[in-house]
Amino acid sequence: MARRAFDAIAAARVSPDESGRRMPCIRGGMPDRGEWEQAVLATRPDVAPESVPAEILHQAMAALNGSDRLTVIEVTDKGIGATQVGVGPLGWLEVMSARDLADWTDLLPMLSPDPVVRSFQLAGGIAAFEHEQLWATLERALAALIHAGRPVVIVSTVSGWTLPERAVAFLARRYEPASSVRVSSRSLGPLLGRLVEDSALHQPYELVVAAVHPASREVMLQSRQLFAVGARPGDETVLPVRCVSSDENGTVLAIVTWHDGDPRLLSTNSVKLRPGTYRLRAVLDGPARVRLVEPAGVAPDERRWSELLSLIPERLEPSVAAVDLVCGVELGGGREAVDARLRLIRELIKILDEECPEPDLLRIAILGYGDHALDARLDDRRVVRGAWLAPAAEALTTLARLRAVEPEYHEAAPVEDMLYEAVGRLVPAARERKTVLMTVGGRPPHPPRTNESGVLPCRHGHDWDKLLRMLERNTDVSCIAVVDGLNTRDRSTWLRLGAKALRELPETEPRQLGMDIGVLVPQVQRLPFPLLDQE
Amino acid sequence: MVTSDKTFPDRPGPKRVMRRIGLWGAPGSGKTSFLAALNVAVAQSRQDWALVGVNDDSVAFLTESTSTLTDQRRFPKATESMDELSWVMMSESEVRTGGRWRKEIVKVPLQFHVDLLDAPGDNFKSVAKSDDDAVTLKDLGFDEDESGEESQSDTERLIDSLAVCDGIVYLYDPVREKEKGDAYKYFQGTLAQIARRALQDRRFDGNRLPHHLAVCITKFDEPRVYETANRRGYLTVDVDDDHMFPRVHEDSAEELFEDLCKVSPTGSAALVRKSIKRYFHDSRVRYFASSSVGFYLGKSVRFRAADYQNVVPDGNGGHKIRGAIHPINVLEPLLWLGQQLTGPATH
Ligand SMILES: Nc1nc2c(ncn2[C@@H]2O[C@H](COP(=O)(O)OP(=O)(O)OP(=O)(O)O)[C@@H](O)[C@H]2O)c(=O)[nH]1
Ligand SMILES: [Mg+2]
Repeated sequence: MARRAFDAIAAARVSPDESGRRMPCIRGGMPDRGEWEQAVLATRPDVAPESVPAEILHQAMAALNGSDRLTVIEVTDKGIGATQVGVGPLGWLEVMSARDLADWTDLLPMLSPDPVVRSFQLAGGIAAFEHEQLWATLERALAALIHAGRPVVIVSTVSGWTLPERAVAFLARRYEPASSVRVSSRSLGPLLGRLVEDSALHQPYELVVAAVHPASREVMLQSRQLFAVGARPGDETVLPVRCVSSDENGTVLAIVTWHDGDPRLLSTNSVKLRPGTYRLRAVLDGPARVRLVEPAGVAPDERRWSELLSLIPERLEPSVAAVDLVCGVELGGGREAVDARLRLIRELIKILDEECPEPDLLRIAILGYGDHALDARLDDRRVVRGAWLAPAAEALTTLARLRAVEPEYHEAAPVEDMLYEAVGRLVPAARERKTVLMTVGGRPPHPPRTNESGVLPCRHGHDWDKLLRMLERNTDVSCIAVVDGLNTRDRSTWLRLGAKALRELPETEPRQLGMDIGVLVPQVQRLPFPLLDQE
Repeated sequence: MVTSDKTFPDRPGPKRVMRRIGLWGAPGSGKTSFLAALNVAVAQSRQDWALVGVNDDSVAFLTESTSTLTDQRRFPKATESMDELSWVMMSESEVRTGGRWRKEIVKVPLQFHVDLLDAPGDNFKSVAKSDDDAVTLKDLGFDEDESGEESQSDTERLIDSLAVCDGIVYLYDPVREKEKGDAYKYFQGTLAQIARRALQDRRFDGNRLPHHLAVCITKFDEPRVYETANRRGYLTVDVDDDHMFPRVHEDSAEELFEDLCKVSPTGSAALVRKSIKRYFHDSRVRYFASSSVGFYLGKSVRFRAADYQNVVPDGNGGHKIRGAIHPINVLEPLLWLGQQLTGPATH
């Protein structure tokens, strides 16, 4: 009687309907209706609602990071299996090892091969077994089967069954503080899949930026967070960055995530930007998918990472903040020569304008100088034409208005008149901006007075040498010069006019000039990665 | 040469002597420019001078070359063939007349004939080696024709004309001398020929030639020449000169010549000077610092030391003149010669 009641409970656990009552393995015969109802009532499974395991798993997943492995152990009437969920290399959750059930018969070979009888045994019909031995066998098998990470969630679909409960208790003890939950549903697979798919970012997604040591000026790479843990697809973020001059491939916007202590490159893009500060706006699209919507023009960069790294200079000198460029240009000496000079200046201004971080950082004065008529009585023309410091676009307009003049005299040009205009404006004004005086011409200045060189003096008596000295004494304006061609006679003069840099026009690249001026940075000073804006 | 001493029968007085003056200088020393500037110099002179061409060619030369200098602001082209130019310079000079009781000052016309041969400077080139003695030896025989018949005859004619002149204007170009150092080459040959002719004509005056010699250092306006004079302190200003043009003081011109001789790379200028001393009476030689174009004034009325250069390269290897021309010591050597030649002591 007591044995029948004991076995009826196990049978009712397996199947609380008529097929359970008729189970042949119930010792002492089929229970009567009253006894059966009693048994079914006693086995009413203590199961949690559907939402509970989902919530537990969700929380466990959300808390995952780094090398955590959420291990979900499933205990069912078929067997026991474990599924691991971890943060994949892309910073997203992944199901690591497929759910693979070990059959109860593998765990406990003494159980019946008959599934019905075995279920009955699992549910509690174990009177025929030596219990201590059964428990020991079960624990040994479980220990061999399951190598869980952390955290552990145990989900049982056979609530109340004796052997599975025994397994749950053992595992819960073993993986303290594992949570265990009993559910009625059959399989966890779809739920896990849904949860993984729906999960958020588990490792920050970061932008690779360069940083410059303020003292040593050494450049190192760092990364700055774009998307934090918990970010979800569709999230948007903004990061201010500063670009300095890069090469023709532009600035590299690389996104990495740190995995196991190593950066993992998720995507490499580049965009052509003039130096300056920018708002980088990024949208998280999914695992490894970050869309850079601002600034415009971002395109994938196919170069290899090692190649990009090789472009980083060891040091980065501070770049020029603001420049005033005073261009003196000779308008005499033949149309071709004048055109060549004007062309050089035009190209230079364009490049400077393109590379200058902000338009108002660059101001340019254009001072074209014509010639002194041989006979002062016939000369009331203006010698110097042009406009004082103005934005690049205006300077280009001024430049376009300059016309070649046909000089009467070939030994000298009124460089000194140009200097007079320039120095007269540069010296009195406090110069907090870097200032460059660039003379582009063919002929040397007129001397202030007739001397044995036989070169005619300046009609206005201006003394180029004195003017330059005045400039040198009172300002730190640097002088560069581009001469059509150098000859020995005028060399020393041009070396004064081009004290900082002296070039010959036919061999002068506008870009090189830009470097002389200090607005363009030399190749070794180019940085293909953005800097953080705060610096 | 046709002209000889003449007097004008209708006008009395001792100053109406016609003398002949010759012009001599290396190629490019500025002979033609000197003549071309003469007209301007006469016009700008404070004294009332008139320069009158005796024949059509001379009239044409005056008008053309003057306009080249002043209007076109260019220098005359290098002379290719010999031009015989003949002018009369006319002025009045005040002369005391009258006897013991009645002295008065009368104005008598002063005229002298300027017969000038403008020849290519090449004709003055020494026909022999640069060795002094070689020339002297060669003088004794007849000249061998070595350089072509025509040029030889031109040279002959030139030498002849110089030899029979009473006064010679010798143009010494310090700029050329500094660059080429060949003044002596052009000087010695001609001098030797003149000496030979004088010897033949028994015109030697003691051991010296009978000629008066005005040595003009040309291109005084050139910065290198001007600055040398300036550095040595030879410059003076004539207070009567509205433009205050600097001049080399009469007494300093010879020193300037000596100084300029020193910068000659070959030392040939010093030889020129030695020859002058040897062949001419000291009292009959005078030095002038001349400029055919003078200094540049521009808008200023006064000379400005800061900007005086009047000749500039034209970019094609030639030169052009910047502004108005103000000949310096162009008329003066002729007047000096004219005055020397009118005195009774001359002949
Ligand atoms: N600075 C300066 N240069 C002069 C002056 N006179 C002549 N010259 C320069 O000397 C050059 C030659 O002058 P010419 O007058 O042709 O000399 P030349 O002696 O007649 O030359 P040939 O006829 O070739 O023997 C001119 O072209 C000028 O460049 C002067 O007064 N001042
Ligand atoms: Mg001539």
